[in-house]
Amino acid sequence: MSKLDPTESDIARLREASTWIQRLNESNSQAAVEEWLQWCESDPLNLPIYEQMQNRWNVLARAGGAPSPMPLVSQGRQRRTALISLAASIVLVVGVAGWLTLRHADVQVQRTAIGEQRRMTLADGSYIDLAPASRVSDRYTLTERNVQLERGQAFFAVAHSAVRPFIVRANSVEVTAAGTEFDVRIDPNHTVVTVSEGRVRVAPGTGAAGAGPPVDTATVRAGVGERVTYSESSRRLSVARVDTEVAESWRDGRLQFESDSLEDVVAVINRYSAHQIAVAPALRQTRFTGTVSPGHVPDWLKALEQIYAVEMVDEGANGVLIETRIGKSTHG
Amino acid sequence: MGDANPPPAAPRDAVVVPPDATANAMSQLFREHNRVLVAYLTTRLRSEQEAKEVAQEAFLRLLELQGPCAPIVLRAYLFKTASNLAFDRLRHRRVQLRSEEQPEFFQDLDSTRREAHDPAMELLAREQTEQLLGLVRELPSKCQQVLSMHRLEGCSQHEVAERLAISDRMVRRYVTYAMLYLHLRLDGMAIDQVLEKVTL
Repeated sequence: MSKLDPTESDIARLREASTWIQRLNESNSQAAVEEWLQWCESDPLNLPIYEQMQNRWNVLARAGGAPSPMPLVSQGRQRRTALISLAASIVLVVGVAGWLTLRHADVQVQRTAIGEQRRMTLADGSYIDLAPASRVSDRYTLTERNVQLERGQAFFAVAHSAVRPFIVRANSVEVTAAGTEFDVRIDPNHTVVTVSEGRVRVAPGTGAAGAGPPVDTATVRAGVGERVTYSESSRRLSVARVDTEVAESWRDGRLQFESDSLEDVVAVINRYSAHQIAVAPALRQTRFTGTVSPGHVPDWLKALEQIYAVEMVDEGANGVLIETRIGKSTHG
Repeated sequence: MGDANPPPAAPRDAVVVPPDATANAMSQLFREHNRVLVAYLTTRLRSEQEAKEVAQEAFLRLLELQGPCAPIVLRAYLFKTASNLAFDRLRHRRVQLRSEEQPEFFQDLDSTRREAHDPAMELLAREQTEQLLGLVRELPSKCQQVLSMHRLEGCSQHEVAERLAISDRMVRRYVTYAMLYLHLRLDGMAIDQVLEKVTL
């Protein structure tokens, strides 16, 4: 209805239509449907207005899945405060996501204790399996699903949306996905992304600052079975093929490693026990392949002594230090 | 919405039923209620196309009914069936969202554009969306906030109320105001006039 001067009863009808749309949208109560049918029959103008209002309203729902690629055209008159004008002008540049970020930074933080593992489901049906001693926060906006892995490790199963990317930031890395499954692990000197379904895009984020080589800003696209590693020292991304089962093993309570440095291995194990393990600097880059059961770490340490030339130094309350055995005897 | 009576020869047409009393009741039901059923389902599914599909399926289900039924019972059964089908679809949609990965999604990301089935329709939809989002920015900030959570993120009104720590009634009030405001602005009314007619 293109009526430029609506009467009181026109407005009342719109109000009723709006109320019905909301009510029917929120519940599937049959009593509500019956009442609504009576409303539709009570006046031949009711249903057409309902339909029109609803079609316009649905445009807004679709907007959630289809953001504008171009700056939105300003409607000219802005009657709001300076702050909102500022917000609006930023909207012109970055789209509605920026506007939402300004308006509601509704951040949800989740953390797990040592040894605790938890699954959490996000608003869009995506879920995160959070490894022990890890911390993640999420902030969903109109155009982006933002998640920050602050420490530890997490597995992400992302609900598909081609236009509303799911972005995980971890240290200096930014992982962008549409509808995939991948694991992100923050190691002492690396951030590691392993893809087990679909594809992701990994970019060095803006987090890398300070002294060091310049950040290689090239992005990397990785598919199933690929692992992208960002090195904090070289500030570069590299890709390798891995067994995704290994990367995901922690979710089944087994810790599998494949050519991981001892330093990284120990960092993972330490998230499962209050009894901390340290690695002597000379051993940190020693590669380890194998399985560690979080409940049997002392056994693993014993086994290490047999495989490698290492010994365990009990440091009491400080935990255990893995030290070079040969190094000591040759120098001593 | 004028295509409620497709040719009677179509084999899957919900109108074509065996010529008996039930069939007559059914075809009357279809004539009288298809439009309102589609309107209802469009609200539930937020898609007119899907609403039409589900409406047709609901009528087909009704044909399986045995014996005569009073029209009012038939109608109630029709809406109940359709409502259940819509519910299944919404649930299925949630699952499907996860499973279909688009290989070309990076191109999508770069251009932020969904693959167009019909470029003209796509353009029209874009223009509508942009126009509407432009108008949304005229709304009070709290109202925009409610709208983005409810309509764009898909939170239920109750979830919005909880997250913003306001009452459900307040959320409904913001949403109603936004719907009326946007409707009148899209009708071409000037801001001042709309503000005069509708208050929060």
